[in-house]
Amino acid sequence: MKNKLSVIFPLALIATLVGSMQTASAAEKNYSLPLSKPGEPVSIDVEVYRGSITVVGYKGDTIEISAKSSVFSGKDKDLKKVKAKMNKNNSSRSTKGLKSVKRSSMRLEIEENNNDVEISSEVSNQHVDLVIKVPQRSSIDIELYKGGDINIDGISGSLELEAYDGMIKAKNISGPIVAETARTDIVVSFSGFAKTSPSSLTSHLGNVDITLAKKVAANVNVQTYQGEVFSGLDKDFTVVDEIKKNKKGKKQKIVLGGVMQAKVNGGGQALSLTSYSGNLYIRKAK
Amino acid sequence: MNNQKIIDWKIASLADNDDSELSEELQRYLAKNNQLQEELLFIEQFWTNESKPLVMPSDKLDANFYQMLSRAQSAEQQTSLQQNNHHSSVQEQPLSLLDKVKRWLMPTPIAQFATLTFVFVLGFNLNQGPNNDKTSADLSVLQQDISSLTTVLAMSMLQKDSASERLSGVAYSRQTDLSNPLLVEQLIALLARDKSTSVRLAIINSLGELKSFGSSEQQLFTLATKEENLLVQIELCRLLLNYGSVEIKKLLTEQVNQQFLKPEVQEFIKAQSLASYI
Amino acid sequence: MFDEKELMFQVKAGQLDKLATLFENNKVQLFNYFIRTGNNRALSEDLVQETFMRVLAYRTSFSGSSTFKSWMYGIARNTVAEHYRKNKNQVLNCDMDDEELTNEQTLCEEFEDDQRSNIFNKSLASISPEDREIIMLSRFQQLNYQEISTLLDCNLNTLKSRMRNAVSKLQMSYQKLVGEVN
Repeated sequence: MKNKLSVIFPLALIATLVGSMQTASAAEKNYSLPLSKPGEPVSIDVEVYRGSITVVGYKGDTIEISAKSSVFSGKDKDLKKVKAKMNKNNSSRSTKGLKSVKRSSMRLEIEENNNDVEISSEVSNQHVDLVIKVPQRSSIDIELYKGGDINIDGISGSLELEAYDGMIKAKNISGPIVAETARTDIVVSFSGFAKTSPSSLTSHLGNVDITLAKKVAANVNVQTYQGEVFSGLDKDFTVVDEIKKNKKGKKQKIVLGGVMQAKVNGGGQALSLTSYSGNLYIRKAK
Repeated sequence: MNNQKIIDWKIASLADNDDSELSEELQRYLAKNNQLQEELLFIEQFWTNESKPLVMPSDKLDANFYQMLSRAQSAEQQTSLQQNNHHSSVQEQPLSLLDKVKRWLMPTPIAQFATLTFVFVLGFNLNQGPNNDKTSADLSVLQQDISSLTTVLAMSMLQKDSASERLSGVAYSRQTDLSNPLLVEQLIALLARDKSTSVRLAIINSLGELKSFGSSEQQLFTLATKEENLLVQIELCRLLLNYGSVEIKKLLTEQVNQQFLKPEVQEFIKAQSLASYI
Repeated sequence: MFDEKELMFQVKAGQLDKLATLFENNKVQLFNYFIRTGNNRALSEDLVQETFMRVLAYRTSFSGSSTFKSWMYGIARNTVAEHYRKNKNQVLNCDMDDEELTNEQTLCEEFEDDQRSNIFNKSLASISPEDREIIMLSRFQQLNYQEISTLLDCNLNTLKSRMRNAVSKLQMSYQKLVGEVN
């Protein structure tokens, strides 16, 4: 039975207002990208300035890209100043007798080189919603600067995800995963847990919420300064630093920010959850 | 008594190539003793019995042996090459060992794995070896080698593109107890410029393993004051407060330096100082 | 005729290629030593490989106080002991039923032209491992007394007495088996 993640937005969460998004015109394109070396490892690198990115793992061996773009003419809080300058330079001239040309062209760069796939949209006023179907084994690297969320479903390869504005949500993955957000939540559901290398979910001000499948074995490390830790695990979390301190013979105690650890199912590779002010939630799948 | 001597003589003649003769007295004794003669006959027959032809091993045995030998030879060559190129000084000794091992690992991933397997198996074998002083000397050399190997592994993982692999590198460095100054240098350099907060936080945690920060302390302090990343800044301060020298702790709490720290970090330092005694 | 001790010193000094000569010279005897102690082909090959890996690993500890063979068999014995300690196997004896052995010549092969030879082997298999070892090292691996005494870490007189006892036990066992056959 799949565990339905209930995403909690605590009152402490500071939401960023991106400004009203006015869709001038939308364009939708689909691409099917064959791999140079079918069956072999695949790496997918996605860099989008503004938009949302959904990656779904499937049993096929091609890259299926569906892209919907629209022009973003809203206001970014931090880009106000820059926009103002630009407006000053574009002194309007007469539009009499002219029709407004709708900019429906999408600027999306897609490159494939020996199973290394790069998809990028670097245009600041273009909002791109990408839905990408990739082989389950793919390794994914995503950087999303503004706009919506990163969504991952059904990937067994390694994941490196950065979202500066939106959430990171991943399910049916086994890692290794290194994910980072600034103020938004990271929500991950592990169906397995890779032994190859450590995983780490870090948010400065957002929450980190993970669900572990029954069989997952891991060393879960949690660290939060101002937030709280909620655990549904059988194993208790114990302070790691304190043990280290005793070894050195010092008497100081860690009051704030210490790392605590719980070994799940005997322990395994490290899974670190860190936030400054967000809460950390560790759930067991049903 | 005589029986024993005679039997000993017989066995020695067959087993030890002893071609000495029985004394006259013993020869006379033997001549009178039928049972003893039978025993000697048995021994003779057993020793000279047409034994079965030897069983031949398969080609695989040769293949495995020569593969092992060639790996050992290339490793040995690299070692002597390095020894010719390096000026040996007390300080550089640990470095050249490191470089030796580094070269072993550089070629290809397969060679890397093969070398690692070989050395680790060697180390494993040595651990089971006969107990004598010479073996324990070899063992400690090999243990040093293995620790250097982990150091080199750590250093190579820290250079990878993938954040998770860099996290592995940090995990490996912790295993070496950070005994190698080159490794510590690399960790601190990475701490300053890595784009992944997770990796930077892991490095800060690992630096807690150091017995003392030494000159790195000032470097870490400067990093902390310049840091834009909240989590990294607060963790650096926590590291210095917990493990740093008395001087650095003073510096952290001084007003003039506090201005460089984010308000959350300032709060943290205040709370730390209240809760603990130095 | 090359000198094995000399070769081993060269290996110790870094001329690893000389180990190949030592390997070629001893591999068959060593392989048969493991077979005779009751191991199957595959395991015996592994044990030979393991022994030479250790010869290489321990090369700096070769002192030359005894012959190369004696030193090598010392390592071989430790290798086997280690293997059995880790795998908690019993040392195989004649009655062991291993399908792998059915087509191969081993100590325990049932039918042979030379029945006497067969009975010799059976007697050998039925005495204690310690007694068997001392006879095997001497009779089959052809180590001399000096080599065996270094290997087993006992003085010459003790060795002679142990040898004598082992042979006596062997003979008793042989007579018993001959009696049964007849």
